[in-house]
Amino acid sequence: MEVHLTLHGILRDYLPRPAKGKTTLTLPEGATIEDVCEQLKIKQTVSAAVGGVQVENNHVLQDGDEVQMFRMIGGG
Amino acid sequence: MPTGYNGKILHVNLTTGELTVEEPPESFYRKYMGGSALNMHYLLKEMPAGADPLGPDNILALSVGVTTGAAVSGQSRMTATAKSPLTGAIGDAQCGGFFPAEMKFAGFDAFIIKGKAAKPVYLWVNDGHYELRDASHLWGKITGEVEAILKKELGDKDIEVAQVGPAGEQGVRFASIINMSNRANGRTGMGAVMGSKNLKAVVVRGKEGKKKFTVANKKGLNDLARLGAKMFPTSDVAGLGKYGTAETTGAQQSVGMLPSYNFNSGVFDNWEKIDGPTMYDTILLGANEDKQDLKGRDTCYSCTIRCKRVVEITEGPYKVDPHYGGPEYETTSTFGNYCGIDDLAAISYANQICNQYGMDTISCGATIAWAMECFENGLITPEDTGGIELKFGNAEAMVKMTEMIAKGEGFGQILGMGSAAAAKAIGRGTEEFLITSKGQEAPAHMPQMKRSLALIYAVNPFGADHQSSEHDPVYEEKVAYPERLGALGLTEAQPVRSLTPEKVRFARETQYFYSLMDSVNVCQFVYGPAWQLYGPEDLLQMIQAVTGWDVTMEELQEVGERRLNMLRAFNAREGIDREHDKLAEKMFKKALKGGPSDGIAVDRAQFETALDEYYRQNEWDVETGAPTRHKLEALELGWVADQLRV
Repeated sequence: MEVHLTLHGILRDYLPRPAKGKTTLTLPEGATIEDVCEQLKIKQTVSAAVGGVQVENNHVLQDGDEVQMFRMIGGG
Repeated sequence: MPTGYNGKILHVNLTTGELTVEEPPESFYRKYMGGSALNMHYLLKEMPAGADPLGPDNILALSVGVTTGAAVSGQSRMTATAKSPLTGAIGDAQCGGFFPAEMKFAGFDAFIIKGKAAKPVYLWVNDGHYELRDASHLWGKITGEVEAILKKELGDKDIEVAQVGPAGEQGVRFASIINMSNRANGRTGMGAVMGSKNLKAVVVRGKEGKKKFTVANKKGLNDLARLGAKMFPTSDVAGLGKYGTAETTGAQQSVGMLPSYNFNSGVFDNWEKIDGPTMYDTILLGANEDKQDLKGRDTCYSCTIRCKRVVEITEGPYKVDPHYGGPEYETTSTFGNYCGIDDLAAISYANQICNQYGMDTISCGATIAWAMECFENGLITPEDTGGIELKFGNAEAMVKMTEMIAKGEGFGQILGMGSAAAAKAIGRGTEEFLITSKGQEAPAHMPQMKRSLALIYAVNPFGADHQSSEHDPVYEEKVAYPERLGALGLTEAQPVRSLTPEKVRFARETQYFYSLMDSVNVCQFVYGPAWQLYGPEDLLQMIQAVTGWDVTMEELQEVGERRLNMLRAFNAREGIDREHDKLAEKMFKKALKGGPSDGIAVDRAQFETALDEYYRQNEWDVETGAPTRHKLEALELGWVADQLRV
């Protein structure tokens, strides 16, 4: 299946620079946010939203999902 | 011989010109640690209740902490505390930069400033020597000019200057104290207090003091510093370093938490034009040669993160001089999404005006956003604004109004009172659009989506503030940083947008920890109970290594609780009580529009129940919200209870 991924902030550095944090990933059925982190070798603590709704990192993704990933939101 | 701190406090009476040095015992430092708690000791002891915030009776206290100046990240912070002219309650604001460390090296832990000078002066403190000097030639000048003149006048390019700009001189209620021309004790109008005293600047230098500075356990501190440097590249603050605090803009947008159009929406269509990565790619100094990591990132004394932005714009209507730094997330939000503006150059230019004239970018941008909503609704008219079309999205109008506030011109004089006072002055129902708590404009984090933050905005003694507790997402559905939050006894995550007794406990315990951090005076990106570079146990080790004290986590939390109780007691003396612990009505009445947060407002019943719970957990009077004698005595503040007659 394919998911459309937007990586915000420092997470965009896990993709080639011209991508500016945006890519389409091919993943096996049943893949989760954690699998995306593993595939991209992301080291930071990650939060994610699918279709604007924040989800747990064990959330199972569906074909065509719009996935946003970012670091945990605090102050600043 | 103390390690980490000087054991000396300089008292400055500007009315008489008298300067005296106090040498408090070690127990005093261990009780307060410095910063805000230490400042509150003097404000409560020496300021009469009911003092005019802009009169000579107000006391401006400037303090560093017991660890300021140590060779480790995140320690170079200074707290300014006084009665706030913006809120009429206690005012309190922190800054970073090199000033705090240099102040420590100059030989003092605090300056306690009283009275009012007959003419403009500056305080010059040089390796233990101190004097007041004439500042008539500096009055009316912007920050960068003053810094340059003082460096030449004192013959030393390494002096550090904390000063008020023309906005502080004129009494703009949200004027800030600026150092390095780009770091601010931003909030609550501490610059207006300093300006009202005819104190243009505090200048420090500690060339010899730096050489003599010692810590109790150098190896322990070095180990911690090395650990921080090693952890940083893969840490959760790596992005703050590279992309600045505006790294978070995209995250906020993703979940409908980017306050837009004066908090009418949690999403802003053109957010990508004003976020941290775009700033990095386009206007950060060195971006044109891909050397922005080298040239476009500045730091505070001895910090590994380097999160401060250095912006240069040489073309177009909004030219920006790198000397005045660059905008934080709060600033890109208040001048940007709050105002519906997607012009990063205009936002950076407004930021520059604030740093030149000495104004808080949060209150300034948020006040303009409030005025824009009033204008859109016909409550403020072109007759009021001098013909300026103060509509959402009008970058030119936003910049013009920022200039007018800074210079005290036309409608800028009204907005320079802050939005709450301006609404009172204008009337016509303009208060409907306020986003203030205790008269201070809300920063760029949304109570509608973070319910413990809604509580903290309301109860915080110095008004709506985003750096007074940890935010909800780390304690919703699962504990995001179990080891660190566990160190504070926080182990039971709560549902999204809940405000259960356990969520209140999360807010209160992390509020104590943040309160501690504003007393030890450490950066809340470097230390904290969750995503920060160092956790609570690291902070404990750091304080132990610098001071040699066998402090415990419980003792540290008590320092934070003590400071919070002192702030609340100050407000109680001023008649500021539970009635003032309010969230802006707009947050309850007007549901957000668009994006993932569409239709969401703060639940009033949930909020009111949590208020009761918060006072109960603090062991305060639930009816008034004031500290009780029982609690004050438990915190060794019986003398404060005597003042309150409780």
